[in-house]
Amino acid sequence: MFRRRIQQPVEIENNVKNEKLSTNINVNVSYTQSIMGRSDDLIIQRFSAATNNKLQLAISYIDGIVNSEVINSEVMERVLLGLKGSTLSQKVLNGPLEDFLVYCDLSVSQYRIVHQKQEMIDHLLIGNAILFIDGFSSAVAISVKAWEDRNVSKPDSQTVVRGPKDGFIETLRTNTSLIRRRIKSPKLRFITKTIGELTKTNVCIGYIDGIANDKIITELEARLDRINIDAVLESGNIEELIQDETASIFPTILNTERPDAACAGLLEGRVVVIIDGSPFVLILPSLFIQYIHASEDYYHRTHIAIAIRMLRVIALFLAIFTPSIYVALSTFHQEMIPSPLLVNLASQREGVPFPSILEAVVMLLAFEILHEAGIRMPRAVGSAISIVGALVLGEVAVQAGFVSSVMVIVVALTGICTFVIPAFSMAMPIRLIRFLFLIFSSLFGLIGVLFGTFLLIFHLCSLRSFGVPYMTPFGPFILQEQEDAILRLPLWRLIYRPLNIVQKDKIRQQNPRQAKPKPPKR
Amino acid sequence: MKYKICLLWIICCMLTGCWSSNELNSLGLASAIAIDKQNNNYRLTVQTINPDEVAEQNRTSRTAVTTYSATEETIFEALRKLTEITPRKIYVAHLRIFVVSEEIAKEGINDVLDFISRDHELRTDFAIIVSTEDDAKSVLEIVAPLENIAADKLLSSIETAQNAWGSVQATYLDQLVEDILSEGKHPVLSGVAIKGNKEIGNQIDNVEQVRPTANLEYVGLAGFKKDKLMGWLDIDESMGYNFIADNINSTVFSIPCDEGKTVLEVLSNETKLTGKIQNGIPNINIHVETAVNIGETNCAIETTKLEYIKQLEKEASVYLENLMKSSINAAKNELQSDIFGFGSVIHRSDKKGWNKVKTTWDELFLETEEKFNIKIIVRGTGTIEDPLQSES
Repeated sequence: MFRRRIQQPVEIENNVKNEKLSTNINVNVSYTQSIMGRSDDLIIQRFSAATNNKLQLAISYIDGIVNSEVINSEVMERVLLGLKGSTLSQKVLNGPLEDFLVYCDLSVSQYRIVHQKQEMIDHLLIGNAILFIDGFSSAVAISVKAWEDRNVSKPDSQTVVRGPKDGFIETLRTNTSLIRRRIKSPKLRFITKTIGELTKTNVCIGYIDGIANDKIITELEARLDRINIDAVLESGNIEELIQDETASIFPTILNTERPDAACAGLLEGRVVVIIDGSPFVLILPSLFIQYIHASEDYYHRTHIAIAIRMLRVIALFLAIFTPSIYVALSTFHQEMIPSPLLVNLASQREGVPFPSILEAVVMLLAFEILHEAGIRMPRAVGSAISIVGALVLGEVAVQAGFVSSVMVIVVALTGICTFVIPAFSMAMPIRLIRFLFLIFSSLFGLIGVLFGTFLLIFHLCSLRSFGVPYMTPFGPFILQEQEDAILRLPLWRLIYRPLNIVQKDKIRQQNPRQAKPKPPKR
Repeated sequence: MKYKICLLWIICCMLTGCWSSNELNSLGLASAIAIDKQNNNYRLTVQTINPDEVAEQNRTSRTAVTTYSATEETIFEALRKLTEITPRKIYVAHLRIFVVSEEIAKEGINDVLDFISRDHELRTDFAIIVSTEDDAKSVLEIVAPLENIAADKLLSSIETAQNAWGSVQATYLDQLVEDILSEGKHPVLSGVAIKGNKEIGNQIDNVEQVRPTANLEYVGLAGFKKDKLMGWLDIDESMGYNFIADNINSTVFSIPCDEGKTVLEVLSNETKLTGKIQNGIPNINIHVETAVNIGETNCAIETTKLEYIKQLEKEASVYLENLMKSSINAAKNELQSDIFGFGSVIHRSDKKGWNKVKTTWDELFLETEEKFNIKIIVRGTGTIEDPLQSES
């Protein structure tokens, strides 16, 4: 029925990769021009130095992603001044480029000698300036990257009341610096790969050596290497390409906009993947329970944190089950509703022309549409949406007798509960499976709901995130890890890192007995 | 192939429709059922709720309940026949009250009980009562003040009376069936009667006046032998029954004195029964421990003096003993039925003795000897001490 058709990729003869740069500066410059085509942000400046033999030089860069001031004052001026009047022997001109550069007096922090044409183009494209010198079969790639980016600001999707207010931005290096600033350990490692045939996106794997599980890093690297795609524009692209289970609506890789959450993940032995151009950092392996954790849980007092986590668990259940249980009870199991409530509900349903299930599906759909409209609409029309949503769909629908008021309550409760789940990527599958449960409940009542619950549990238990069972620590049950699952025991009780992820350095607090704060002895 | 099977399976699910599902507005919620006998047929009367008139919103001037009757040879047939006149299917899971007419009760209620305990829709938490004086149908047709639904009125009234007065007993289906099947106990049901003009009682006019023309009233307990009504206990005998059966939560009773009466409020009561067969005669020990409060008095007593209190305690225990004795006498002479469950008491405490007498227990019950051990403790005298008249 669904037979796959995979087109065999056309093998492109690609000799460019290994082609060396020419010793003739004209060849190199025209090659650059021919590769870049008519793009007018490519700048090539040719100039000659006042040496004994009028040495020809050229600098090329892409305007907008380099700091042209640095190019002018620190590169061109210095090179020209350095070479001015110097006598270059044939030995230097025929020798390696490194020796020649001694004369140039470059004052930039970072440069690299490139030999191959492709390599040179790559450097050009990531914002380096290329310095060609006539007579050398190599060029200098000088790091002068500079482009406009956003300031580090509050994360939009994961706000907290208490906790650091900075968030990741679109620049990879800034993001790694946000993490590096928090974990000042030489064991923190960042390894960068370039993914995407056209986008050449830098993808950075971050982990703490000795805490993170080597197998997971190896597996992650293998999965990243397997990616052969033209473009990576967001971490979501990478997430989709490296996940364990493709046929699931549940996310198996957590994402965060918060450096503190990423650091907490690193310290638990997880691996982060930072993608250039995305403020969302991936954390893996991730467990189901992590999606109802918020970084704030660790900043509040433990009792409060436990209460709030329990609230979230309740909200999670309500978000999934409220509509389906209402439909099941009111159409199949009226005997389970207390009599006074039943009379009340029956009175509200008097005159409603649709069956409960249709009422529920329509109202939930309307809510989802409102939700979707709210995300993508321009700010200016926000009040219009809320008026239409609250008044027309809520009050007027009830007054007109299209829906019963209890259904509005049910849908509103469900909707609010969905927003309690801290991870947006988990809220979305919850919104989806609600409809599945509704269908089951309208067909078979509570038995259907139960059946759906079984299916859901089976599915969740079958998932894995980089080899770690998704439902840990509930299935498999690990008593040790209950302390930071639904509960959040005081920090002095959280002695160990998650056992199924970390394999070597398992202990967080070396002296557990002294971990608990005590008043001074008299 | 796998996909095709999956798809087929999903379609099959859809095709089943919503088996046995009912929308709330397609159900007639029955709050009470009454059963009368009419020319050897059962007349079933169902009181259904008009949800709109009970809920806070959308009230009109219609009554909160409507009754429908149907007559058939059997109860289930009558219930189904009701659909001829009701617009909706009668849903009986939320039944509160089941009224049986005195006539049926005298003939035996087994036939009635068979249906209500066999049908899966009925729960077992509704109270069963016997209508006396009038037929059961008219009990459901009284428009009740305070509670919109007559059945609610009956149920809450029986529960309040049991908790605060102690002259009735709310018997639920499971308990009734258990008592009928039990060898050492016979059931009791509360009786209800209409007081006032029942012609006006079934109109909404009844509740449009401060003093309702007609009202429903509990009139003591009906004693059964197996499933047959044997006779009635009056209010005092009913109260005595409840003391023996340990059904008393709180009640009041009065002790006469020269000037008038002292009313005692029962704060807590605990009755323990033990028994055994001695020389072929069953002996029952009734151990009552009651804490009371002086609730009202017009006697010349000094409540601060201990001897008055002791005197009061003694008089109260004599009163309670007489109350219980009158109840036992009524059971022996009029009902000839062991409604107290003395048989079960002996069964529990003297199993060997019970095995010898269980076949003839109903006759032997009449010869039971009771010993009373009553302990009354006056816990308090209320918020004032001596009676007002003695101070003035």
